[in-house]
Amino acid sequence: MGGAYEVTGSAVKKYYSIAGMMVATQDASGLQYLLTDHLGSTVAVTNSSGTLTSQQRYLPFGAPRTIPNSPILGTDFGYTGQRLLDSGMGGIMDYKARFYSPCIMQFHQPDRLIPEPYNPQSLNRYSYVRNNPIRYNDPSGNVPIDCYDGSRYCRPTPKLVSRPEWGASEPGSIEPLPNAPFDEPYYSVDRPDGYQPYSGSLEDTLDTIVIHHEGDEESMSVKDLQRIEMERGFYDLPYHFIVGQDGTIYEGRLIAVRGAHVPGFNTGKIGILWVGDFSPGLEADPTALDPSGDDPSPTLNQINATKTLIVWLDDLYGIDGVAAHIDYGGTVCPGANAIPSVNQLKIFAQNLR
Amino acid sequence: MCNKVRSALFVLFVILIVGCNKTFTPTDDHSVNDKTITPDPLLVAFQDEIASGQEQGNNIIDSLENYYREKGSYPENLEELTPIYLEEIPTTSTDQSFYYKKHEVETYILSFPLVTKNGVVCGFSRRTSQWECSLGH
Repeated sequence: MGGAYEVTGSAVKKYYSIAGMMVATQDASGLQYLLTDHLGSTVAVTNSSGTLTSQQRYLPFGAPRTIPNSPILGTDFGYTGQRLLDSGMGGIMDYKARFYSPCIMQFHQPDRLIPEPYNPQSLNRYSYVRNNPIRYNDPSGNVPIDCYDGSRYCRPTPKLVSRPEWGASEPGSIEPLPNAPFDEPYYSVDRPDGYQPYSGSLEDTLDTIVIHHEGDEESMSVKDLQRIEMERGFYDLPYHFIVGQDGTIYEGRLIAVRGAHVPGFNTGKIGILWVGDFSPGLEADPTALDPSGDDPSPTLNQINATKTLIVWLDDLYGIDGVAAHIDYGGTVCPGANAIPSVNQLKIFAQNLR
Repeated sequence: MCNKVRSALFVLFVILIVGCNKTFTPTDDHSVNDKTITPDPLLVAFQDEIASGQEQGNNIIDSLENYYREKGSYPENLEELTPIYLEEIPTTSTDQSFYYKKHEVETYILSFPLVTKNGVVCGFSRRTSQWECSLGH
């Protein structure tokens, strides 16, 4: 199958997509991650440890622009995520319904109809995305899709399991156990460490995503996790999102409330928990359950779901960057096995700018 | 007679206005509750620990900024500040060490843990130039 599982001779190349956007490839040379811009164009490729291997930028209509480390290697999916035909075809690209040439900035075949007779830009049936290639892309070759109007057709929108859907308890509704190790009351001047809804706009407040690890998918649901954290003295889940090993994203602490996941630096930080224990060996933290001690790494589903989440959060609030919990000291979280994935997400977030 | 009535009415009017004013003057809360509240000693210790730690931390921050002004970059660790910029690296009133790190998001961070509240850390971010004391694990 082209673009999913391809066999050339004895070589096998696999492609991984999420919500219609290609995010990774794997062949004999290893796993590679594809990072994209707002149109879905592949702009950077990293190896499995998150190191940038090649990159590419494009002129408005898709002709390649030469920069250091270009062109991209290991994939022929480039401008707006469409595939380049074999070399020697003059850079013609396969837009599924039609072929497109970035060189002449037009399709090679006419549109089968005039989609908008009253829009003069639509009258030339060979023209590409009404000659507005910064704002629109054309995933099918049939119709321009607006990447700007907030409908986010161009970008995948994460499917969230909301708090009511997973049966969340109300914040503050579960009493801490006697001898609970933590104490998070509602915020007051006397207790600046308390549960604090933000007062300003979220766009101005939220700036950095911080990645964590905790728990064990097999033995712990998000509802269990919330109960455990509240019995330990937290007012609610400390994290804003929980990403399961299958890539399911759960809504955690309300996004409009300061988290309790990077002590001393919680303001403006969006906490994302990757369910699992990615520290080598058994960790002293009793909640980081790793009974088998087999030291897994974050799953590809977890990483891809987090990318979708980052794009979405960046659209909504404008995110400056991604950090690991360990970047703020006092912890090994999210575990040495997760650091390469976090490094990859840091580059991913930088390329959203 | 008429004048008398008029002045009586005027006096009544003035009293009403003054009376109204009195009614609407916000009352001083302290006068209502004269009982002295004994502060929770744990809360006082918690706030003292925050205040003294931040005071020590501000000394380190001043030295870090002096270092930056002269060298053009922040040090890799606090030891580089001694003895020129700081005689010795202070600890908090509860004998906790400061954690310092050059940081890609925050420029640098400086923090100290509290012993009066488990899991609470006071952190200073150079990016926001503010202290925050908050919880996490």
